[in-house]
Amino acid sequence: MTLRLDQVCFTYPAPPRGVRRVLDRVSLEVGADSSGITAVVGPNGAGKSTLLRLMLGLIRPASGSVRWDDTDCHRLSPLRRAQRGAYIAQQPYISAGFSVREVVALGRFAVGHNDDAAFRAMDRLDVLDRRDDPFWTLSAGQQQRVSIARAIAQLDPLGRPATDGRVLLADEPFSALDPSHAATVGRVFRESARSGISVVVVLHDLTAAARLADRVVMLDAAGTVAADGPPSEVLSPDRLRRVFGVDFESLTGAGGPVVVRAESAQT
Amino acid sequence: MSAKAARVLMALGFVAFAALALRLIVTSGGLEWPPDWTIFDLRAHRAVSAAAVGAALAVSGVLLQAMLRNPLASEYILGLSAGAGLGVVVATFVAYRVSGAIVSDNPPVYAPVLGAAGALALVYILGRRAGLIDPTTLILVGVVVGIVCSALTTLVQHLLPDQGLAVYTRWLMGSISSDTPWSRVWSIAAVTLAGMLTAAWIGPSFDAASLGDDEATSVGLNLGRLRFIAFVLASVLTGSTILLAGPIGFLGLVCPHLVRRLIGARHRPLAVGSALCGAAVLLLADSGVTLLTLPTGHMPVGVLTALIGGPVFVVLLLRHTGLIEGGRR
Amino acid sequence: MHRHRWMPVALTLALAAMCGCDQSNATPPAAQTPTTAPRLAVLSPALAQTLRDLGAEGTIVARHGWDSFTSPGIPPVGNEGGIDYEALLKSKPTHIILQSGAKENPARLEALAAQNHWHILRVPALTLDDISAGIAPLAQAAGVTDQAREAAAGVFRDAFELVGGLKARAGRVLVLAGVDPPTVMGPGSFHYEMVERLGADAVPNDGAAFIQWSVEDVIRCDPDTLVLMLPGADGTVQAVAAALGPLARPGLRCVTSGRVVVISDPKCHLPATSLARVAERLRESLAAFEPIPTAPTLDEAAR
Repeated sequence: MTLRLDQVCFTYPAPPRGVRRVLDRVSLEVGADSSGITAVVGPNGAGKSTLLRLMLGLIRPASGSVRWDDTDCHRLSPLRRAQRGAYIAQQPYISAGFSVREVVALGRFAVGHNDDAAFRAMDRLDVLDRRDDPFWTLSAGQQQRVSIARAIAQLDPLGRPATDGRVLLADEPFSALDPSHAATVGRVFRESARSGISVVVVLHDLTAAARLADRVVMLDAAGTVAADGPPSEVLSPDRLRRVFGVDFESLTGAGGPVVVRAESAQT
Repeated sequence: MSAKAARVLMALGFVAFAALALRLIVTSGGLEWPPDWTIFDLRAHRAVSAAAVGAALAVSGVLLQAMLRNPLASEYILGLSAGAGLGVVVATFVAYRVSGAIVSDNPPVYAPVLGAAGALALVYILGRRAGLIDPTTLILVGVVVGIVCSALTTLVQHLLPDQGLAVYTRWLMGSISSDTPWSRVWSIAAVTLAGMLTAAWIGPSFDAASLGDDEATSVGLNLGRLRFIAFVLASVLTGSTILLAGPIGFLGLVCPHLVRRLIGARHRPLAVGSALCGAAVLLLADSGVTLLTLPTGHMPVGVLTALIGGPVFVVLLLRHTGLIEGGRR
Repeated sequence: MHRHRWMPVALTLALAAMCGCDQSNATPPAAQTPTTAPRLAVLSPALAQTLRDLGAEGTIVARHGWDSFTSPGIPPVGNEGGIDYEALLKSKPTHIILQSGAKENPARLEALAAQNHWHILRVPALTLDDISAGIAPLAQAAGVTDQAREAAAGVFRDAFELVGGLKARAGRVLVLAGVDPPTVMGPGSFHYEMVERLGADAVPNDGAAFIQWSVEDVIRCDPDTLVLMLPGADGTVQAVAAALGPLARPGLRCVTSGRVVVISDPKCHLPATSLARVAERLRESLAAFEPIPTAPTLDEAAR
């Protein structure tokens, strides 16, 4: 499935009068050529989370269009959208006293209940041992993994109507995870991408972006796309200085590229 | 539904049935098999009314708690009961202006339903902050809306020639009336049953709704449509109970909580279980106030539910506030 | 899990046990044969009082829930919120006495009355004339002798006879049912009517039966005489000052000149023949006042 944004603008009301432009004429395409992992990076307030929500059709753009395979995504019902796209929010939240298993099962709302799919997802995200515990008793990191498992279960092809082209949108999925679990989740994303799912991940950790992503979309503070391409090209110190206003240096570590702030001891 | 949930529901069904049977043999000061058909009819009328009201209020509580993502939400606290009462009083007043007589016995059904819907709409609109429903604000707004509705009710009452005494004692005290025609009792019982079945049918949607607006939509839920259905259902259920019994508090709060502890948080079994629990509780409460004879007659059953439900609410509030501080948005 | 299995069994046993107990009240349905002794279910504290004044207390078999003047041994059978039909049926009345207001009879009451051959009697009690007119139907329902009926009617009539010179002694009379805040008994209330019937001049001239005033309104009205209807209050002179509450301070003319009457009859708000006693007390008190000194005319002042 091709997810296409065309000259999308988004604004928030900014009191006392007026609006704040968060995204400005953003155009990009996901999933057309191949699936794979796309990272969205940028400074705080650049509109990364907003971009994700627009892509899923959770909010409407002020101007421009969001299309899923040439259909305006808002013409599709939430149910039909859920059959092709899953979303992981920044903060996992549940208001009822569900167990982990019940939360993961919620992911199958649109595609039909399937215990095996839920089981597989919990296993891959390493939350199987806590599956009967109430969600709210878990740590932030565990809750985040449960949230990811839910999305994975939603897209699991087991026992669901066949759709080509699925999309996984994740908003800062590593924020509460320890390095080991971050690696696990990275692996899960990589496997998903290999099985044909287009993964779009909002990240603030540039190293993770450099290592995980096949493609990086960088938004700048004005909400425009400053760069769009392979990580080696987008995450150049030059470009990073322009967008973030700080010096960076790109190193190569044992595990892959490392992007860190260049800071002398005196500053 | 799990086997455990099914067993609990059967047990609750049995308890409700036993409470119904109990109500049929309770009279002032003791137990007594109904001596004749008239007495049986009277008690059956009260029993069916109580069962319908209890079930409707409990299901209404489940709907509101799911829709507003707040386990402390209930029709009484959020001012729906007060809104429904206001609807009845306004309808009575309008009828009085038109016909010159206070015909307070059978107000039109839409009056309390619209009143309840209006109150809920107000609470919903005022309780949203930056598009999110903040639990604490919601309770406060609900209490305020309830107070305002009560104040308006008092105002309209004073415009009636008898200062609204007839209207007040008939519709605004929480007690189960023996004067509602049987046809209305049966139709409200049918509405309650339909409401419960609908709530149970869309139970899985409420499960998904507990995820938070964005995630719920992302798993495929049409949140706006669900809210509307729940909204209408809660208003209809709450509004119609006013016609049978006036405002009765705390059932919509306490019954879902009790049943959740037995059955879990899944909304399909919860809706059915709460309805059974609500019916049982109100039948038992009505039996209680009937057994106890005071010099002034019988205590209104709403007083008993408040006396018991009030402290329970406080305990739940304290416990929930502790939970709210950790790990939630 | 086990709990849920034996719960149904336990409940069945409990239910069976309950069904077995206390059958003694299960009397067979008695056909209501017309009895000679009237049994009155009086759903109005006021009408019960009038019946008592007629000497027919013995005929009352059921009372209004809020009727604290009828013996508590008589079972309560409901209030404005609704009639307790089961208790009413148990009291086996022959007559149902209701105070007629804007509300019509409940349908179920009509049905039960038809079934059990009850007579429903609606007696209005909004004015003194209503109370007077109600004596006859109540007396008939209770089977009171003509003599007793005439006596009661006579007492009531005589109590409200015009008293000469009352206007000069009492002047403008303000009747209050409460002092904090001042609740005025306006036109349409019994006591207003009573004052006018006795020959005095009640104020204000318009308004509802109960009017909420503030202390300032009372000062502005500047009545010549103040009548306080405070059921159960202590009627002594010292207590009067206490009874005045916030009205004692502003130096009202009626207070300083001692023209304050406290009616402490606990039944002073019942629209019944007992109001005759209130009227007597009022007349005695008002008639005992000195005539109000009139202000000197301009000519006299100039002289």
